[in-house]
Amino acid sequence: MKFSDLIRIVIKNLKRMKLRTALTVIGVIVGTAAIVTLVGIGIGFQKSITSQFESVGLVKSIQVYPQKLARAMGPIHGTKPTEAEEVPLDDKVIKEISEIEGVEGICPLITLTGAKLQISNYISQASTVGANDDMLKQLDIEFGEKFKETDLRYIIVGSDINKTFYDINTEKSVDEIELLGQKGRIIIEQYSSEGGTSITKFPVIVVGILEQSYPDYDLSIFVPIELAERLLKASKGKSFALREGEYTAIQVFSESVEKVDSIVEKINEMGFNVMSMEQILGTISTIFTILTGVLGALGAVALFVAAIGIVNTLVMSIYERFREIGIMKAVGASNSDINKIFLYEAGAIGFMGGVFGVITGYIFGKGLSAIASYFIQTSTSEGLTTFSGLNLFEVPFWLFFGAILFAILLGIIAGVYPARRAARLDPIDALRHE
Amino acid sequence: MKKKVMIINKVISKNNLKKDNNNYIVELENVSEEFNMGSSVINALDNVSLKIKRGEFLSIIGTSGSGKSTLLNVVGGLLKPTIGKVIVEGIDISTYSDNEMANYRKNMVGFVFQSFNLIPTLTALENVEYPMIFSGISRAERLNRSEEILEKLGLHDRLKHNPTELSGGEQQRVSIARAIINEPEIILADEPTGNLDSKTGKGIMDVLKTINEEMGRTLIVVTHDIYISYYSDRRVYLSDGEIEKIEEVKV
Ligand SMILES: Nc1ncnc2c1ncn2[C@@H]1O[C@H](COP(=O)(O)OP(=O)(O)O)[C@@H](O)[C@H]1O
Ligand SMILES: [Mg+2]
Repeated sequence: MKFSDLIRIVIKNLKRMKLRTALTVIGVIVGTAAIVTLVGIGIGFQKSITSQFESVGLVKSIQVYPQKLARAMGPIHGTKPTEAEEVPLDDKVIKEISEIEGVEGICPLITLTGAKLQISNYISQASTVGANDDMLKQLDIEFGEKFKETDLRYIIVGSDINKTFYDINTEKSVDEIELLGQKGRIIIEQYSSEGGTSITKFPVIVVGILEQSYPDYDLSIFVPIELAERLLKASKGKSFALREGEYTAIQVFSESVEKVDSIVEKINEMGFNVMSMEQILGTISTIFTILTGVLGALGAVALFVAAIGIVNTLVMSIYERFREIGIMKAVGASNSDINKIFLYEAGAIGFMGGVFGVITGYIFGKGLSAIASYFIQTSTSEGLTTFSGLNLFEVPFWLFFGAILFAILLGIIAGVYPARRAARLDPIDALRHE
Repeated sequence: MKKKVMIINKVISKNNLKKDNNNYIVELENVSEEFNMGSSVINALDNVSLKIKRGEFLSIIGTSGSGKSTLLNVVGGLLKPTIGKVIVEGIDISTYSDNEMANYRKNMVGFVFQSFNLIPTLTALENVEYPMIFSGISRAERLNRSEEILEKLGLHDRLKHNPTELSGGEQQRVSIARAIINEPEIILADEPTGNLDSKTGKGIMDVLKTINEEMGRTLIVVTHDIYISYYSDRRVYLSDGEIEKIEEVKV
């Protein structure tokens, strides 16, 4: 039997039982669409989350903590318990790390949550971060310019800082205010054990505004590292635990994502604990891969049910075509000819369901993604505009063709039993059948 | 062109062979066919031995249930005998595998049934074309040959009709066309006039007789009607699965 004839016969047979074919195909469509939608959402989420981090170069940054602190924070990937005395994070360590192959920059990590930025009558309580030249290199300015780490009066702010101010008198939040070039001050309040309060003020000028990157940065105020140290001292007063020249954490910037792992390893060997965005992303990716797999399996269950539908449809059609199969055999069709016809019918049902299923799943997933990002956008209109226009659904090529192939394959597998039964029909029985 | 010449040569040599009494195309040796019906066993054929000459027109006569169809199906390769040999052109087909049997049915035999057994969803032309699909013949050639044969059988204006739109006689002619389309050596007809009125039946018998005589095909016709057997060269009387007698038909 020629392939073209096989296809012609298959199409003719499927057309003959239009309604039943259509219903069976719908089953496959639902299954395939479920796979595409669910797996596409899994992949979309993973992609959009990782690309959020990657786009701001965060994957290239590594946080280093002293051993003890890290242990207090709970188990962190890469922790190696040592008997040795704790090594402090100081300028000597910073120098050592900066000499590691692949390190592009390094900056002590100083973040203050108690400092306030006042500009005329408005106050913001966004967190204040110390930045040296190395760190400034990692930031992208949208308006104005960067400061030098020695210009202690200059600061730059994240892209959404202008939405974080409230009015000193009314205590109501204010709409966006103009920040670039404004003079203001950073205020630190310190409560002493006697109950008194001392207030320290540092005059500053906003010289730059960052490009939008990711929420943490968008909502931070960046000050020269030395100013940050002074602010820290002022806020802790005498109870300041760390000795002069020691840091609670430092941030290391790698030249490239690929070098992160080797840098992490070397710092680990030095006796410090390390947390890198890349490791965290790796964990997130693994979680999402598992989640995507689970979602895919759910879809596969739906497709499996559809496969049972194919078996049913074909077995029923054997009964209907009983006599016809007998005639085919009488005129010379071999068992394998008949087997092929039924297998291809099953495969064709799988194929049609697969193609339409992928299309349906794609449309459905896009719709869900649009709805989801609309809600995320409206519910976070106060700040996280980063998430706007988020694509939470993505169908890569392998999923597109993989889903169709899977549907065809499942169809063919579903066809094996009916095809075998049809092929083995006794022609005498089939011809005697009225 | 070349092919036609070959066919003519074949026909001539067959007509020569027809006179040679020692040339048998089919030989049944002690064939029995048993059907298990629950606990009882039906002996549809009981130790039947029969030699059929090449190019012969043989009729098989018997009452209903005497085993006529079973005998035809055994010769046609639709049924394997429980015991005995079915030797066709020197080869015992009862040892054939399913696949070899399918090939045998495709190339060696053509069936004509009482109830026509046309595929209802196909047109007359497509029904005739059908066996050639399994021979892997190209569609163009299939349609050409089918059309040619149907025209010869007087159905040139019925090519695109479905079986339900054809009269009984027309349907049977379509099924005869289908039976001979692959140019088989043996044509097997199981009560071909059983569903037709006597006038139409005569027409069908004439067609079959012509195919037997002009194309030199061996023809076996099963019937319970003694008058039909007058078309044949020999008649075999079957009763309860046994051959009662065989006689030459005198014209
Ligand atoms: N496939 C079968 N299964 C069981 N019994 C059968 C089968 N084919 C034929 N028979 C039985 O064998 C006997 C002969 O049948 P058959 O050859 O059809 O007779 P005829 O064609 O002469 O009427 C009958 O009793 C019939 O019931
Ligand atoms: Mg019969």
